[in-house]
Amino acid sequence: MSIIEVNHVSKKFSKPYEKTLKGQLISMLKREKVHNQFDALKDVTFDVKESEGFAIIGHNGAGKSTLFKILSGIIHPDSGEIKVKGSVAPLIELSAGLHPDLSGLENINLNCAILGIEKEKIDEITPKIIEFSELEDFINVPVKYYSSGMKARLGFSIAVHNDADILLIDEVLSVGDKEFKKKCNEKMLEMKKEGKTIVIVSHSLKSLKKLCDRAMILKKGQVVDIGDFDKMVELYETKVSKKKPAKQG
Amino acid sequence: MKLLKILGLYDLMKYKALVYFLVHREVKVRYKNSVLGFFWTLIEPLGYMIVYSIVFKKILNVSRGLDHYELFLLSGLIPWMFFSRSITRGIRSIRSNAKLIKKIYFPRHIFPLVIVLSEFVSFIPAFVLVILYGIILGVPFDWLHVLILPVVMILYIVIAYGFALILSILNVYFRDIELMSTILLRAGQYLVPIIYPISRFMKNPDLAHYLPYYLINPLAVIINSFHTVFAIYKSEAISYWYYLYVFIFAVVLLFVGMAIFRKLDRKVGEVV
Repeated sequence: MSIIEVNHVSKKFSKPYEKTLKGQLISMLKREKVHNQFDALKDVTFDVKESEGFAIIGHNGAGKSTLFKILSGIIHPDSGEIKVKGSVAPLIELSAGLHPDLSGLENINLNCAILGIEKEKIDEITPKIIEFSELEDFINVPVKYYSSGMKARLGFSIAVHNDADILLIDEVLSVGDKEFKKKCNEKMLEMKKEGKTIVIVSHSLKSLKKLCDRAMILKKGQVVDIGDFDKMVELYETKVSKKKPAKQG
Repeated sequence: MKLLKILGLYDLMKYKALVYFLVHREVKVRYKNSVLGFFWTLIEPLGYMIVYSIVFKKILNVSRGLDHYELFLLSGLIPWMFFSRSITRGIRSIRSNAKLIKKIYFPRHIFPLVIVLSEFVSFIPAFVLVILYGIILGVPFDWLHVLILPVVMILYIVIAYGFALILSILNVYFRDIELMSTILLRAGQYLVPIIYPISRFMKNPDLAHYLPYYLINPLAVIINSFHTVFAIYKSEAISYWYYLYVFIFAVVLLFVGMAIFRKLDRKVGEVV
């Protein structure tokens, strides 16, 4: 049964155009294009099955992040439709605009509340989140004093403990030390066994092998192919990317 | 059920933990590193009160026929500041949370609501002090108005929220809203009975003609009803039908505000 269905989704962006009046006149004289649209996503169709690990892979600018934002409801597509059956928990970075003066504990409360979890449930999962993140000693310290690794740990712990049906991950796992990464992977495998669905947007493929069953390759906003994870990785490494996939975020 | 959804109240029920948390945070953060804490809420209206009482009582003599002009000023100024601060801060509420909005989806009409509610939380103790001041001065109450005051306050919150909804979402697309609002709020302050009582209209035959137009502004009715808590400021000019009008205005504004918000909300994730 599909838990996420994406049908013929397209999204156009106009390139941000921020020139002064003078700059505009000059580019008019040079006969540059003034209004410029590009397809971030073009007729994307796929589905994700229940309790499946699904990877969306592609270069920078392939439309991964746009797709991620559409799946989590932040932006709406120009055309096409998306059906999501179940609750979605995107893994968000804690640096993402939460109050840096708030402590780790307060950020847990806030983050859970943002995900629409009820008060009693928040109180129930908070100790689990703290334990998993291994931040017991720092939980009352304002988040602005956290290292990026600590923030990532807290963010991940919140995302995996809130009982959503679908976990959306946008290559944030690259932070944190080796052991915590291992712990994260184990936790996600466990979640999959419990029947949770995991969608990962990434361009680094190494860490995903255990977790993902299927993958979709995006290139310039279009679907290249969808299928078995190993096959897709092979295809991606030989044909889609001529050189080795870049490592930067 | 459908009505609740249209008004966004269904979302608010689902996210009540979030609303509570954010209001709590707003109120806490505001007074965190200040020695005088809560008194900052009072210092602003008190400062205005001193200036206005010098200008309008001593120089312009607006206060003739009004007992305890300072009490009159405060009982209008403090409710007005709730509105004016809700709007000024509410307008920026979506823009200033841009980072969060780009990362995760949740109903964004929570942001202006949180501002309005947190301003209301600061307003209540300030208004209680005004009432205490009235008691100390020995001014009699108009008990009927004291009784309807909670209803008036709820309508006041709804109206402030309705305006904040529309303006906050428009401000994402047009920065002008933020800049324009300062001027409009300043003008608005003189179009509600803060410095002068509504009875001034009745005393002047040329002005009396304009009173119905003046009262089209629901804020004028509301501010007047805060004054009227004290019996000495009661004016016959306002019949209770005006409260029905304010009620209808508030409900319509909330519907229209929510409709506009939802329409413009679709692109906020890209534009903000």
